Amino acid sequence: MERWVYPTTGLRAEDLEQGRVCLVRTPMRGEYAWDAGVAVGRFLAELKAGRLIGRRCRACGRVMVPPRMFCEQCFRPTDEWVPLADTGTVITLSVCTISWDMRRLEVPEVPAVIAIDGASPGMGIMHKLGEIGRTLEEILDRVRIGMRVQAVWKPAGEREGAITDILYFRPLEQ
Amino acid sequence: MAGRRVAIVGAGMTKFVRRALETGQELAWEAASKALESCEMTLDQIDAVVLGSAPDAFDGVHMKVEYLSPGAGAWGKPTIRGYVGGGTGVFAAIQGWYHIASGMFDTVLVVCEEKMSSCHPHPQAAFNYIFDHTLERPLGPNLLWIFALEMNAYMTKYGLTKRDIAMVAVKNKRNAADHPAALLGDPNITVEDILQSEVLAWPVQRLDVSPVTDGAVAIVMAAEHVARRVTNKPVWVEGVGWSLDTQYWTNRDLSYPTYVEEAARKAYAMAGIKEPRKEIHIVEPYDPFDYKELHHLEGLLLADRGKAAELIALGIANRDGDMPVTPSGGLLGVGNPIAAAGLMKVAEIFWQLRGEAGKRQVPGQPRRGLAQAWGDLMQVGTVIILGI
Amino acid sequence: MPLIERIQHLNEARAWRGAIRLEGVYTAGVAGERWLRGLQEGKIYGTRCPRCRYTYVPARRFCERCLGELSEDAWIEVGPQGTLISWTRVHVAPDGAPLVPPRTIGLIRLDGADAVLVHELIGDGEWASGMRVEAVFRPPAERVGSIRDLLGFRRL
Repeated sequence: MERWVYPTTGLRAEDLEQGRVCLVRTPMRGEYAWDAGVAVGRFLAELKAGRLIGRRCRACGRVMVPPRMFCEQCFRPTDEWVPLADTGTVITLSVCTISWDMRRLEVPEVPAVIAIDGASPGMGIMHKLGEIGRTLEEILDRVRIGMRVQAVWKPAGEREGAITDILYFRPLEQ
Repeated sequence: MAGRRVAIVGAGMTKFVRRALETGQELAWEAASKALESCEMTLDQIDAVVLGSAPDAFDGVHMKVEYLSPGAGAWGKPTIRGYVGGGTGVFAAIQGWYHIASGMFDTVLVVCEEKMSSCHPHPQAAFNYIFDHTLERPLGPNLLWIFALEMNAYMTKYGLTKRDIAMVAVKNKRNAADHPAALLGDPNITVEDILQSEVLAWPVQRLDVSPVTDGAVAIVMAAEHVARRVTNKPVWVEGVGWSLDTQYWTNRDLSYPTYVEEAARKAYAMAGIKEPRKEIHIVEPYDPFDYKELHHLEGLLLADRGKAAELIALGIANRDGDMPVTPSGGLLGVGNPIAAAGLMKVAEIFWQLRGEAGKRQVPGQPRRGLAQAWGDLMQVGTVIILGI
Repeated sequence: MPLIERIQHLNEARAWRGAIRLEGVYTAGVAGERWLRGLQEGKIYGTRCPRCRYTYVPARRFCERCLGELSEDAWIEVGPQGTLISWTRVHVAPDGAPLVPPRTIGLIRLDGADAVLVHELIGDGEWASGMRVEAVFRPPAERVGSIRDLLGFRRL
């Protein structure tokens, strides 16, 4: 099969940096205003009030978070709003040491999927964990899948109706 | 088997490189022209074109496939783009299959291309926009988060160690040393190298991840009456399947890819396969991360849940083992130009079944192989089974 | 309960603002690299497919009609004169603001080419399809290997 591999021209980073090849740079700057929609709009309003809320489908019985106005399994409208606790269980977590553009972070971030109490089992949201240390080793020593956590909220006056109204989730147990 | 019999009759590809001088169009042409040359066909013998490419943001070209089309031989031909994220490469071959199985066309050129190096500050940045704009992006996520979260869920559920998983990266990067198009082949790499590489998002370290890559792959597919005229070694499409899980990824069991199982069951049923572990001789599961190969082997029902690592540890998955897994070197070794990487796996099965894989040839005249890809927001499985 | 709930207060309707910030850094490709270096030397190249009898400008390394390779002997110089095929005057910038003075953009079929090139038209007054035009290059010292090494086309 070697015959059917084209000898493509690989460039080194220096070829670009030192201008050995012609380059065109085009910044892409798209500004958007995404409608929050019905379900997430209400979810954001509840966040501002310091509450988490889910949505129940009476056909399958699931209480879903993030909430949606339709059940994607039963393919019918969901039926009612269900208040949830601001505590939960860590389903999975990571300790991330780099930023979105691959620069090193001084203090690692700890993204996690947290199953929220009051929603159906396994119904998680993505957020971050805090109050768990500042180095990879320290954090790995203090976190585990299955740990119980609670939301740490921004002060009421600073909330704006955003997922970041929860600063992070902190451990509930030692 | 639904519809008319369909065979792959030719395949070609570019070298996989970190950054290509070639434009995306030129990469598509290099692969497409090699694929046609490999089966001594010309463009006027092609009825239709299927083009696959991942998000437009990589190449930085909206309507990317329309842009690529001249290089893919689509001028004046019925052309379609398939797009299911990382699952695209195998899905494009499936689209090629149903174009012909349906009776609509006799010959299809399938081309998959990705030029990731154009995307700055880093190709990973393009993936930021797969996250929910209201509930996830404000947290400042990056793509590695979801892989790391899934890998940790998988490791923890089955008590696997980083060492168990790193053996996949070692096997694949070693296999890739024998692939003439490979970007990251290394015959001497060890588990220690993987375990000592930089931590990116624990448990994911740098050598657990496939590299940013530019490249293209093309195959030629034909209906039976054409295939028999073109080659004495047609490789038949015996089964296909694909399935999508919910986009609400934080509501799923991340330790098991149900959608891969659903896709595999469809493909096995179509191919009349009852015992996949005995009847599939070579596997090319999607391996953008080392744990994904294990995850997918389990979803494909080729290993018990949590037990795929044993296939690697016991050497069963080696090229000369009982069930060779990723003899090409995979995304971890050959490289990961997203859509092209999936089609590279299909091409590998094609070359292996024809006995044309050179130094990578699996011994024992394998008669049936499976290629699988995975993508979208960790939610799609695409499976194709080929046989001679 | 209906799928869509009635909004009771206007401030319940909200949008989440965000941006997509990426930069494309493009190589010109194997043919493009050579074509732009040609502009740097004040030359406009095309590639001719002998089989399809079609000359591409900008030059390409393959013919999209037959997918054949356009190798060394396919490269020919075209122009610098040509014929205006169509033109437009642009009074609005991409962000919607008025463009003063307006830009005039033309489609030019260079002598010896089949494909047409899009570029600026230089000079006041009216333009008409069928007019003869000629390429205007930047001074050699200012050329960098870019489509902008060509300032545009002026009336002959």
